[in-house]
Amino acid sequence: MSYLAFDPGYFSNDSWDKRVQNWLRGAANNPFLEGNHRIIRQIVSHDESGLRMVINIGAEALLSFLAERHYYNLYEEPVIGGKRRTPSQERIQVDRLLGFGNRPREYYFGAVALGGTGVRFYGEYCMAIKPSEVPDDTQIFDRDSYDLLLPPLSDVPNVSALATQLRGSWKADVIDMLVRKVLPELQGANQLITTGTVSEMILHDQEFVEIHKRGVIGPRSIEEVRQSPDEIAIEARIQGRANAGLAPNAVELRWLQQRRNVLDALAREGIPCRVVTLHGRGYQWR
Amino acid sequence: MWFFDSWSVLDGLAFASLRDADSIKADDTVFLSVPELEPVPVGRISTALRAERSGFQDGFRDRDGAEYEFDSLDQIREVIRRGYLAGGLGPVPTPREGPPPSPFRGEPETPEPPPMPRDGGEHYDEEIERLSSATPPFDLSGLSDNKLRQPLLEKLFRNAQLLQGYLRAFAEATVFDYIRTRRPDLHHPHPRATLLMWLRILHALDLWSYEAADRFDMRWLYQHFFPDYEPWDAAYWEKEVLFQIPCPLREKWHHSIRSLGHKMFLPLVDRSYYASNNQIPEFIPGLLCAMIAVLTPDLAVARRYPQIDQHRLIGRACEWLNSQLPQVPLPSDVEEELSRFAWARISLNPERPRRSGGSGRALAR
Repeated sequence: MSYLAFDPGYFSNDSWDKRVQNWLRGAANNPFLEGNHRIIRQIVSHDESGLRMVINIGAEALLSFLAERHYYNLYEEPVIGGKRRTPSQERIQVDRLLGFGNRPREYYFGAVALGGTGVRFYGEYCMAIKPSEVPDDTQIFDRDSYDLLLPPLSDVPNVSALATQLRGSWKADVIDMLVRKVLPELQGANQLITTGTVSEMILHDQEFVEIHKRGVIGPRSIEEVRQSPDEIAIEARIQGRANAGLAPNAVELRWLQQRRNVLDALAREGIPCRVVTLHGRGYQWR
Repeated sequence: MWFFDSWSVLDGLAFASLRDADSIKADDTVFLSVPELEPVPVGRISTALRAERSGFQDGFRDRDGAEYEFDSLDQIREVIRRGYLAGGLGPVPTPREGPPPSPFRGEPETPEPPPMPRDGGEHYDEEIERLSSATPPFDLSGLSDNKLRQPLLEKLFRNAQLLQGYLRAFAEATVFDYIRTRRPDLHHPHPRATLLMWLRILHALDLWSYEAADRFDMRWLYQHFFPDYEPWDAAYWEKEVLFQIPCPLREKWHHSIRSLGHKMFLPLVDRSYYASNNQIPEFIPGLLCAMIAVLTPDLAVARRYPQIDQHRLIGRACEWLNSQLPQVPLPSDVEEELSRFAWARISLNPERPRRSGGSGRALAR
């Protein structure tokens, strides 16, 4: 597909606010669309249960973070095996496209989420960062920035200009960026949507808005740690099977032990740890 | 060929792709995570590459920076599995300085600690000396070999009576070492509950008893801590207790091995482990851990049939070990990486004191 086929209303130098207004002007006349637009803005703007920067992390990494009081998201030395002969060209390219200059190590990658348990590929524990710890001018990007390395985005002659179009800042743009991403999917809706649907549309599997926080993240930056019911179910199943005579394997024994270590460490730190559903921040009727 | 794109070794998470070395043009990309390690199709390699921003290491390479390549996803899965287990050989990260303790959690007073039992490793060594004269030679180096392993484990199962004395001695040694380690705070709820859990498990395996406590002048254990304790009523065991019980150490074992969990994981990660640890006393810790892994209320040793019940448990434990020891053949340089990594992880643990100023590095590790 040619890059010329990209939607010019989305891939634009206009502000995200203007991109939303332009899109709304061209959208079909649907009273539910207007209602849903209002609902999305209301839901994501809510102070207490609204948008958060989230970082997913595995059990060992979470324990290390709590022990060392500093979150490290980028390692030069591998844990096992040797290093690349030369630095990763992909990483250098992404750093350049995101405008990190010569200080890429000062940026920490997260995702924007409304409830839910984040991008679970990157770890079963989802740390929600306190809103007060995310400066207003923190950079956001409308997708996984590593998508810039792959077609069709990588085929564009000036990827750097395209990357600039897809950036924004936390305070000024996040709501409009999310609205511009979500609203077209609701164009044919004949009903008003719910918080769960909005949450799911904002962060779904690997589809998310990326956030690049500059500056250290420590245990005091964490509002809460969220877990998915999936892991709780796996945990209960391993224990249930063990009691029924099906022995846990060695990996399961270590996994159970690590989960216990995490619970102890979070309790020691006084960090709330909650089980939340994929679709909402917790109980839907809250 | 399959390659690691990004790998969180200690957390058992990895992305792997079917591609050429040092390329991001992938025909297939999958994600695998513990505990199930089932491949999940990811669809695009960018998700895998971005994982490096979440603490994943950049692929898996040799000392010269060349990517290790694998014929199958089974091999990838095996490497993740063994890397994850190797992670369990190091220390659990704990804050040097945690938050201030709650004023409600202080202990009202500190009672007199219980008597100091003898050193567990010393006890085990002495019992080995006593038992070895009646034990025919057994070469267990075949446990490192996929083809020889099962026949060897079957032979051990048939000769289970040779193992029982060693198992009992090692189990006794664990009780001694746990009390030695936790003696000053054994009146606290957690260490006490752990000891209770451990004694329950050893009772269920018929490897510890009231009589043993009498024999070692440790009747106080029941009188002071568990006056109403009826171990055979236990219907549930927390098997993760393996990671909290210190491993009694023979003089020649690596003195940074701290818990039974460490001793269980070493042969599961390092395929060559039994090549140098090829005698029954070296096999016993792993066998005891395996017996605990397979233990259920149904399999607990009953007073009426102690020999038969324990023999049956040893069989189940050998079956478990057969399934958990390294199975999937890997390139020899990857085997070496895993072995090196396992011992490097162990070396991160603080070394335990030696009994008699021993020579340090262990022959049998």
